[in-house]
Amino acid sequence: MAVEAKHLALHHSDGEENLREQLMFDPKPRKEMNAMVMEAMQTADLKYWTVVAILAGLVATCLLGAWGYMIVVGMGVAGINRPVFWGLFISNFVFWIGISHAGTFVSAILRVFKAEFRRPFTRAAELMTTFGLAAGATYPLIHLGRVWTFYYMIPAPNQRGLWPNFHSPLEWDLVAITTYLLGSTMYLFLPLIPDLAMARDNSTGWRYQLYRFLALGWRGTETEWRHLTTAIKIFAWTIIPVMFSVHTIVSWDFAVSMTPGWHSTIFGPFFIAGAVFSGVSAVAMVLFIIRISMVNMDYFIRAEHFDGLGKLVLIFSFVWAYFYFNEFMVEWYGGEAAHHNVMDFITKGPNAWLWYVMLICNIVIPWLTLWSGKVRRTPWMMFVIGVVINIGMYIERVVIVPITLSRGRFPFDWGEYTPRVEILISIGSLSLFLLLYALASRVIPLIPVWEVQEGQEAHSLKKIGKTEVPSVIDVE
Amino acid sequence: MEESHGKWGMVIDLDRCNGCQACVTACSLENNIPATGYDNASYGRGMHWMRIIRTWEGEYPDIKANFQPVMCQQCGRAPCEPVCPVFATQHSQAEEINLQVYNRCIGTRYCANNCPYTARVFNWFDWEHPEPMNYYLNPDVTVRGRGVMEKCTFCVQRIRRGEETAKAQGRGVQDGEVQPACAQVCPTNAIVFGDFSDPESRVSQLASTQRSARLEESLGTQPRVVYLQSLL
Amino acid sequence: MSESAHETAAHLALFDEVDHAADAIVRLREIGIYERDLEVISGLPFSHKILGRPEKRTYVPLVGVFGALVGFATGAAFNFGTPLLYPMRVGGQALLPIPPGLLIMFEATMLGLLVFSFVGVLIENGFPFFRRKEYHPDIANGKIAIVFHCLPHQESLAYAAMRQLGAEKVSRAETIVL
Repeated sequence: MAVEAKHLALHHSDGEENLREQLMFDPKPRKEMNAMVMEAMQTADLKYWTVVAILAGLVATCLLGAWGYMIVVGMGVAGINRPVFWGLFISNFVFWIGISHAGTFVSAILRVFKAEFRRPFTRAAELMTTFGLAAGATYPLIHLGRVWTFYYMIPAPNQRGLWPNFHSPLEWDLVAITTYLLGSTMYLFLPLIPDLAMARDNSTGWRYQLYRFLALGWRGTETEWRHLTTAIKIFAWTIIPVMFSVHTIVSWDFAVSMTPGWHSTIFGPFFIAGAVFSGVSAVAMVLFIIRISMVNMDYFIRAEHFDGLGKLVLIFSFVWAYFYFNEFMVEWYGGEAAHHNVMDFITKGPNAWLWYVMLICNIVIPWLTLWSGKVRRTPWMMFVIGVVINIGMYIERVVIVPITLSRGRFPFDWGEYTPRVEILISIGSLSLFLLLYALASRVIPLIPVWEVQEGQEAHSLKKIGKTEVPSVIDVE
Repeated sequence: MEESHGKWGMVIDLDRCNGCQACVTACSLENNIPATGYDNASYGRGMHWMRIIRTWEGEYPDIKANFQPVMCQQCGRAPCEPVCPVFATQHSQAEEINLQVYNRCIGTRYCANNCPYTARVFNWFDWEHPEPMNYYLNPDVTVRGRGVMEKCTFCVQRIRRGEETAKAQGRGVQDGEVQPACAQVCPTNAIVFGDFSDPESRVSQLASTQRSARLEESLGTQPRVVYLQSLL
Repeated sequence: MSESAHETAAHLALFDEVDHAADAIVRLREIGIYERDLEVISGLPFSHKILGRPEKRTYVPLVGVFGALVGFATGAAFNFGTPLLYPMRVGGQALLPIPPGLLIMFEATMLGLLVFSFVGVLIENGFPFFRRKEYHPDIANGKIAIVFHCLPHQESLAYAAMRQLGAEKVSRAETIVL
């Protein structure tokens, strides 16, 4: 019997060179890693500031400007109408909430399962959660007809003598997104505290003052670590069901309604699969940008990480396709005319090309490329595939919201939808996400150095028979 | 299936309806509904609370037009109600109809998406009532601003007036005393309004004929509008 | 009754290797320094077993569970209490529906658990803390520090032991403004 012990992330188990390809087997002293992360944060060239300025301009004009114009003039400047009461605003909402699932998925689930390749990029993914939620949570506001009365939804005692309606999926949304936003922000902050203390001890000037304030007086005593790691465990376990509930509730915005094409019991898991699918591929995109635009990041972010993410993306492409086929099959087989009208419009109507592009982006391209280890280990290819998948997933939300709504139960009331100011606002919120991320990348240590070092300490070579194989010990 | 026992309801005889649109016009005047113009209306932004669904049957020259006035069906189990996060649309216990509270509406438009009858309309802009139409505004009905949802109310202002008049005179509301604008103007008397809880009322009598049917009854929404199907 | 060393000034020994630090703890104990007068400060979360120390007690999970109860009660009050204040019937549904109630209570429970766990970490650690405390900036750069309190007669013994085990520095602990 041949016993083959092989490390999960390792491609070829022989040879010193190959071993050094892995971050965990290419350790550097902590001091050096700290210096690298600090340098990456403090390097901001003209190109960086130009990008920031452009993004800030786009946020000011496309998001704030166009939204302000819409508030003053009325919702009519958007393309929504009767019967398409929800348009790209809701598509964007679902898209950004989906993106925000990346951080939790990568960070919490991989942490719970102790998947070692997560270590260098948990923080980059958690930041995506927070900023994806920031971009997504603006949409329920943007889409309100009377945004100045949004506080009617907040369950607080008021002079109107009324509480919000807890029967409403939109109220569940409010509660769930608040929970997720607060939870994921705290979950971002907790593992960050030791790194903030590190930044405090390695910086001067305004940065010192900032990190000193944010580090809250962290020293790293046994008790402090004990409380912190306990809380991180609680958070990792708790945030997973919260994440699942958030996107399930988002899917219930559609699924609990009577609208043909929406009323489907599979929407919950289908939306979660789609969210993780687009979110994880977006993590690969962000890692690629971080790697090429920030100094020292090619040490921390390596081919193995793109490899691991690529496998996840491929799996979720399978899952997504499976759920989508499920939903499609049942509706196709069932004879209800209202559902068939919607399906015919999606697959044969004037916008049917969107549907085919979606299938190509979400199924054909990932399935044809991601099986190859070479593709998965090439960062720019993963970036391109990430872009393609996110286009596909965006189209999926467009198909689900405005295109489905175009075909109601009464043919007399069928309608068409053309986005107008929605396009500007969509560009604006994409810019908001990128701007927040760009600014944070120069203020927040993007690499959880202590987690990387912990991983490097835990990895060693173990002699089995005639060879040494990489092994990982559980230090916790 | 649980049958809801309500009060006010409507019977529309499709054999009598000739698609003249008088009800749509009367409804607009009674309820301060603005005209939005050709471009807006054709983009799905007309504000009419009721519409006449016109369908063609057969091929030219052997062709026939069918007309069906559709407005809010005042469902007993209304899908629009539970989805509103702020109770802007909810069930009136007294009249057993769906109310839309404009001041409370924040404009999520979820109710409209969940309405199987596409009965709801949204104020995309602050519509104007150009002269001389502003002199025709009904003082009994709120003029809606931008960003709120609205729909047929069964002319609830007329129901309340009828009930109060009857109460002041110390009697019950008589059959046919309360008439929404659409029923009042219908030249062929296709629209009949009345009290379903009174088995002797005209609506109850008409609704008990074999021609009676409700729109999308299988959805379980329990509509309060009964259609008498066309036999012609 | 044992003498307390806790009132005396603190000493700080800085190590490169966790193995040496763990050995040093054993030696300090042999010298007669109590467990409670010892503290290890590190840039990595070494488990108590690695350091050979008793496990620190943490009430964070307990605080979290308490928060979950608070959240559950809040969610229940939202769903089964507030509708009674102003009853409104919608869509033929029950006034106090159970399935949406489960959702609200679930989210509120989770939010309570998360917020209280977070606040629990802050309170248990005494954060924020911006005054002086024994620390060395090199700890964040990979060094391991042992901070100990000892009686005057133990001092020289302890210092010698620390140096012998490879402490790169052992001295009166400097306090640093955090």
